[in-house]
This record gives sequence, structure tokens and C-alpha cells, in this order.
Amino acid sequence: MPNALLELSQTAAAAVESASRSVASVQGNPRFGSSGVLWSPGVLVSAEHALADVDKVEVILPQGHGEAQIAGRDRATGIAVFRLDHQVAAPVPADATALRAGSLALVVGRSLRSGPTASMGILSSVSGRWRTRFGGDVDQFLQLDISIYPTAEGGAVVDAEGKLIGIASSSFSRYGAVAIPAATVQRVVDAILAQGHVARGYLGIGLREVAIAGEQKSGLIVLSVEERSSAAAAGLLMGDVLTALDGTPLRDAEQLQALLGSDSVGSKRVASVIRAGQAIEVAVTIGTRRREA
Amino acid sequence: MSYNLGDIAERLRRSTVQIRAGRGRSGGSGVIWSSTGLIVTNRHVVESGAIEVELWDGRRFPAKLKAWGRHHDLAAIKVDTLGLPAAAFGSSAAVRPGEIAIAVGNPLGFAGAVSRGVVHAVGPLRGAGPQTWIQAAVRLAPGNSGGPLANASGKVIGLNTMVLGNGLALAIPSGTVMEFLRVCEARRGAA
Repeated sequence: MPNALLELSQTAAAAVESASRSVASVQGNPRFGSSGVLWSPGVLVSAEHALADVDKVEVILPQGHGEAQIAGRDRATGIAVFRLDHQVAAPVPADATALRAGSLALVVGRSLRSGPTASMGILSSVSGRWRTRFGGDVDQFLQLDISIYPTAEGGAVVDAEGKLIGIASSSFSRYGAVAIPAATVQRVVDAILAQGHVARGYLGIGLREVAIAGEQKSGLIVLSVEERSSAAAAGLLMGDVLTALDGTPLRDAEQLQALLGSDSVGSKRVASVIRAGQAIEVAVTIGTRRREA
Repeated sequence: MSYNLGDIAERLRRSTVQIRAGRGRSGGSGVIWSSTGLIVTNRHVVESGAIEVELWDGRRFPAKLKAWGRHHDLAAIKVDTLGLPAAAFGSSAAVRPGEIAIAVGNPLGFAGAVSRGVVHAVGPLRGAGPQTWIQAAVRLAPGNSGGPLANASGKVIGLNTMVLGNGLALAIPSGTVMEFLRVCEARRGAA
């Protein structure tokens, strides 16, 4: 009679061993390290929130130590991208369309002192596109019932065959631990390598939450309007109170951020505004932040 | 032999004892090393006075402290009886991250509780010296101390010793435990 438990054990350990060849330890802040995935030759991907304000980090690869230069970080999806001299092939991707709730998942990290690390559980939820609370546009909602230890943040989430599902992240705490899908990470990597950042929708106004009369209870008061910004072009004024964008209520700044993902750039929206006690509507074309190179 | 979690856990349970020591009778666990009554546990479980051992079947015996580790949180105790179900020990050198790990013990006074998880890492801990630990993502509680951490074949790969703040269980690898017991037995043979 075969030992099913032993088979599972050997399968999981083999998956970890194969995935760990492309997982690095990233010394991105002074308190504890995190992990990263050797994404493609010359590129390393890690967890953005585990990094201090640094432009290079020490990394421990399966083959030894190295130094990685930050290429860009995207808070919205929690992904940081580094340039690093390595020739490790990209991990084999799992078939994203075949992922199901209940599938086995492993979080593979690397610790500075004890090498590869593993945690096991299941994908507790698999559903469609979602938006992080920082406005990041994520292709699939892949929730894990696994607790991600700090050293494994940014590590690889793999299936039972060691194929890559995504990057481990628990920075979107409302949802617990999730895998940022490989397709989303690839978009972030492409954008950062091309232009150093992921374009985000931008209005060019300073805002603050303010109490308003009525059921909604709070809105966002405009404290400043940047010159030549999309808000200026739309005629928004200091003292205006934003209450909704395209009918979606705006009670706090986070709700506005969530509507300004990269896909919002260039789109025309209708802002509901209280100006001098009158409810009015203002047409706005979402812009993008100009970067000083 | 059959091989499912229930059977493996049952065999482990029979080789796991409950230990109470001292006036406070703070509890821990231990693993039966030999059928002639030698039991291995954590030193911190048996430090506080008279030791009593309870077997899986409810029989109770007084135990004598035979040896304790100087560099490791280990102790060997002896009960005066024969025919005990000794645990099978495995090699901790072969343990890999991701392997299934099974812990048996007496957490919070629940006798023979089983928890399952995976080996998280094998190696030293940051800021804790050169000692190698098996770090397991297995839920443990006080009272698991001194109990077995086993692999998917039911072989003991470590002795559960403490829980880190982040919930990771730390076990002393079976290699270290066996080396300690070999030294104990050699010393007794010489005496």
C-alpha cells in the first residue's frame, strides 16, 4: 500500500527544491531580510513594502552573494524590480487558467542563515481581476491560507510541481496573504524596465477628508490645485469638495487612489463636486504624474 | 504496516509520554528511545524536581534524570519498566524544506494531540549562534516541548523545543538528539 502522505511530502519537498533555485534572499531593510525571485536573466523581483528607502540591496542567491540595483518600485501592486547580474532562467509558469480554489500552494523563500524556506497550504480563493487599496490593477485574486513569514515576503508562490503562480505578498492586509499573479508582475517589470515606473492616474490636487452633510458623511476637500494639471484643466478650485467619481462615492483618499490605476490614464470621468454649497458635476480627463528624470 | 496520517500519528502517540516535574507540575512531553525505559526530552521540562512519566495507556512511573545536555536543551530520563514502544528515529541530515512534518505532544494538557505542517527551513537562526534547528510551520503550544517532530514515514526527525514569536516551531534535529543519547549510553556503559 503506497504511503500517500510520504508521496505528498516528497512532491512538496521536490517542488520547493526546484523553485528555490530561482529564489534569492534580499537584504532590503536593517531589521529582517525578505525574498525575491530571479525573474529573467538580469532581473530580480521582490516585495516593495519590505524595502527601506534604498537604491541597492545585498542579495543571497543559490550560488552566492551579489548586489542588486533597484530599477523601480510600484507600491500599487507591491512589486519592486531590481537589476542584477545573473543568468538564471525564469521559473516555469503555472497555467493561470487552471488554478482553482483548493489547489495546493507553497510559498518558497530564502533566509540569510538557513537557506531555502517553505510554507504550504492551499489557494483559498481564486477569482477575477481586483484592485489593491493603493490602486494596483491585479489580473487574478489568488488568496492563500498560508501565513507568509517576513523572510518569505516577495518569494515565489508555486504549485505542487514547483511551477510559478506568482509573488508572495501580505501587504494588502485586508485580504491576508495573496499571490500577485505572474502576468501582473510581468506587466510591472516591463513598465519599470521601459520607463522606471508604472504610470498611474493623477489629478494634480491636494486633498483632505472632510465631514459633509448627508448620508455619505465625508468627502474630499481640495486644498491645492497644481498648475497645468488635469484638475486645473477641468476647472477644479480650492475649496471644492469631491464626493464621487463616475458615481463611485469618495469618502477618503484611498477610495480615490483605487480609481486611479494605470488603466485610468487618459480616460474621461465625471466628478461630483460641492462648490459653495451647490452640488455640481465637472468633467475631468485623468492625467499622469510628470516625472523629473 | 499501513500508511496514513492516522496510523502514523497513532504509532507516534504510543512512543510519546507526558512528563510532569516539580511542585508546579509544569508539563511537557518526551519520546521513548528504548524499550527498556530510556526517554529523551527537553532539559527545561525536567529541571524543576521529582519527575513523573505517564504513558499513552495511562500508566504512570516515577523517572530518574540520567543526563542533560550542556550545549543543547536536552535531557535523558529513565523509567523502571520493560517493553515500551520505542520511537523510530530518522536522519535529520536528509530533511528538506517543504517536507510534511507531524508533531505529537501534550499541548496545554491535551494528551496525544497531533498537528501537521511542513518543514520551513533547516539551519541556524539569525542572532542565535551556530546551532542548527529544524524550523517547522506547525502549530505548537507549551506542553509540546520534548515531544517528537516526525516526517511522513513517522520517523522522528527532531525534538520540539520552542516556538518563535512568529509561530514557527523549533526542533532540535534528531542527529543532535541521537548523538547526545549515544554519549549518555556510552557513559553509562563505562560507569
